[in-house]
Amino acid sequence: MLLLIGDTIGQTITEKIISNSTGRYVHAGDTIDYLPVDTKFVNDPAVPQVISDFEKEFKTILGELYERPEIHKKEKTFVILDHLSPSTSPEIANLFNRIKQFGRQYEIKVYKECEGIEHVLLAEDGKILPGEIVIATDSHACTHGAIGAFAFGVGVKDMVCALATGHIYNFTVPETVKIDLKGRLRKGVYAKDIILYVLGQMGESGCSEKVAEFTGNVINKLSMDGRFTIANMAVEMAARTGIMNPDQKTIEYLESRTSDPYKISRSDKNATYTEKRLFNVNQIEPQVAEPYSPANSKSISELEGVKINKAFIGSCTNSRKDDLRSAAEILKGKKVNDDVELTVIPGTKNILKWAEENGILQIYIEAGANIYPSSCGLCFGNNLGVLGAEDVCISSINRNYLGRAGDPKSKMYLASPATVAASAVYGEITDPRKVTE
Amino acid sequence: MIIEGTVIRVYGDDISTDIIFPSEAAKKERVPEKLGPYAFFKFEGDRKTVPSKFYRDAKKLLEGGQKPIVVGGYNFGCGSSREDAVYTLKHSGVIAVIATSFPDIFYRNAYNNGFAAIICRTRNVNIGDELKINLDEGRIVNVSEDEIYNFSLTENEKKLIRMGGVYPIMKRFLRKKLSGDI
Repeated sequence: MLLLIGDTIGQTITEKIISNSTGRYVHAGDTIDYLPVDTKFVNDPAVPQVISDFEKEFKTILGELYERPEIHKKEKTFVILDHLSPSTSPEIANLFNRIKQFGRQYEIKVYKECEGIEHVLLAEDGKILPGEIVIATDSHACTHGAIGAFAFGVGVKDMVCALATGHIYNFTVPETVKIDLKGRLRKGVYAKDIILYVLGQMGESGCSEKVAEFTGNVINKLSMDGRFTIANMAVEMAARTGIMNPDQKTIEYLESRTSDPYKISRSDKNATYTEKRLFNVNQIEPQVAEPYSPANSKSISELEGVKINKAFIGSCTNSRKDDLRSAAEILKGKKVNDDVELTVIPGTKNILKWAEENGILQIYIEAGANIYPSSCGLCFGNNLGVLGAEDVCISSINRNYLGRAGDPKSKMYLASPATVAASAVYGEITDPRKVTE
Repeated sequence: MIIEGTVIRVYGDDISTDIIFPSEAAKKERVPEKLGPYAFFKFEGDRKTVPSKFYRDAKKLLEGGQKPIVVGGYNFGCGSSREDAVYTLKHSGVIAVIATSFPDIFYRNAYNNGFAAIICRTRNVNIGDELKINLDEGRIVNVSEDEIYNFSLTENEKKLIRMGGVYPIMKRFLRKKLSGDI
C-alpha cells in the first residue's frame, strides 16, 4: 500500500480498544507482553480452580505488600452461578457456599443462584461497557462484542493472572474479518437465522484466530437482543471474538443501566481487514443446524418433518425479551405437542418478571411448557433437562456437538426460538411462517 | 528443547473440549492432577469406564517408555473454554498435541500450562509413529515414516514451555509491579 505523507493507517475497533488500553498504537500482529484487563467474570464450574490457584500462587506475594490480599479491580470482577444452579446435590450446595464466602472475603460481587445466565445478566446489569477489554472463564464472552467491548473467553490460568495482576500474558493483536450483512430480513427470519447462515458459509474454523466484526444495515437495524445473539456465536467459527461498532442504540441501551463513563471506539473507514465477506440476507430462510456442528446449517425446507421429542428455548444465545416474545407469538393459543417436552429458561430473573408482566409467561404456561429457573440448563450438558440416548431435541442454544447436552447418542438441532416453538407444536421441525400464516 | 514421543491417536477436524473432557466429569473431580482418567471418557470404549480407554492406552505407552502425542486436524479443542481439556491430556501423560489449527482459548490454555500445542500440517502421520519434535528449530521428524514437518513458535511460547507455564512469569511481573519497577 502506498502511503502519502500525512496519511495514517486506519485501525479496526479491536486495534483501537487495545491501543487505548495499552497506550501503544497497535495493529494486528503486534504482540503485547502484558495485556491489561478492564472487567472480568468467573462462572461456577471454574471458580474452585480459580480460588485454589489464586490462593496457592499469588496470595503470599500480594500479602507481602498489602495487609489483606486484594483482587485487582475488585469492583469490576464478578462471579455468576449459572452453569450448576440450582444446586442438585449437596456437593454443589457446598460449592456455592464456598464461592459466596470467597466473594465476601475479597469483596467481589457474587450474583445469586439462578439470577441469570452470565452473558445475559452482566449486559442487562450494565456491567460491560464499550471500549473495555473483558475476559471471562467462558467461551461465549464474545457475546459482549455486541456492546463494542473486546471480550473473549479464557481458561483458569489467564483468569487467575488477571485477578492477581490485572493483566494476562502474551497477547497478539488479532486480525479482523469484516462480515458485512446487507439486505432485508424476510418474515420469520431472526438474528439466530442470520448467524446460523453465516456459520454455514464460513465453516467451523472459518474465522480462526481472527475477530469477526459484524457490520452493515442489517446490524444497524437489529435490536440489541438480536446483536447479542449474533456476537454470541462468533466463537462457533473459531473467532477470537465477535465485535460490533457501537451506535445510538448501544448508547440508549446503556443509558438506564450504568452511569459509569466509557469511551466509544469505532473502526476507521480505512482500517485493514484480512478478509471482507458480504452476505445478502434477502433470500435467507429460517435456518436449522443439524448435528453435530453449529456450522451444519441448512434452510429449514431441507429439514422440515424431522421428528423431535424435546424442544428448548434458552441459553446465552437466545433467552432475551425478543426471543421469548417471538416464540410466544407462535405459541399463543396453541398447545405443545403431546409427544414433546418444551422447556423455557428466561435468561435472567428480570426477563422472567418482564415475561410475567406482559402476558408472555401465561402463553408458555397455557401451551404446556416447562419453565425452569434462569440458568444454562441442558446447554452445559449436566444440569436441568439434559438429553437421553433416544432424545431428538431442537433448541435455541449455540452448540450441537456430539454428546454436549447429554448422552452421545442424543441428537440436537439448532434454530431460532420461533422455529423451536413451531416445532414444539407439531412434534417435528416446522417452519415458523407456516404457523403464523 | 526436544520432545520425543509416540502418536497415540490421530483425530479429524473440530474435536471439541466437550469431547476431550465432557462436562459430566466436572461434577466428579476438580483437581487438575487427577483429571487424566477422564480423557475422552464419554466417547472411547465403554463410556461408563473411568479410567477411559484413552487413558489406559496412554498408560500402556508410558509403561513401555514411550510418551504419547496426540495429532488432530483443524480446530482442535474448539468450544468451551474449560482448561480441564488441557489438564486431562497433560495428566494422561500426553506431551504434545499437533494440529492443523487450534482455537485461541485452547491454544492459550495449553501454553499457560507449559504444554506444547503445535500448529503444523502433518501429512502422513499414523498411530504408533515415533516423532522427534525440536521446539527451538520448529521441526518434527517422523522417524517411522521418514518425513519432516516444519512449524514455528514465538519467543513467548518457548518461554512458557521452558518455565512450565504462565504462573512463574506472572509472579515475577507482579513482584516487579508491586515494587514499582513497572
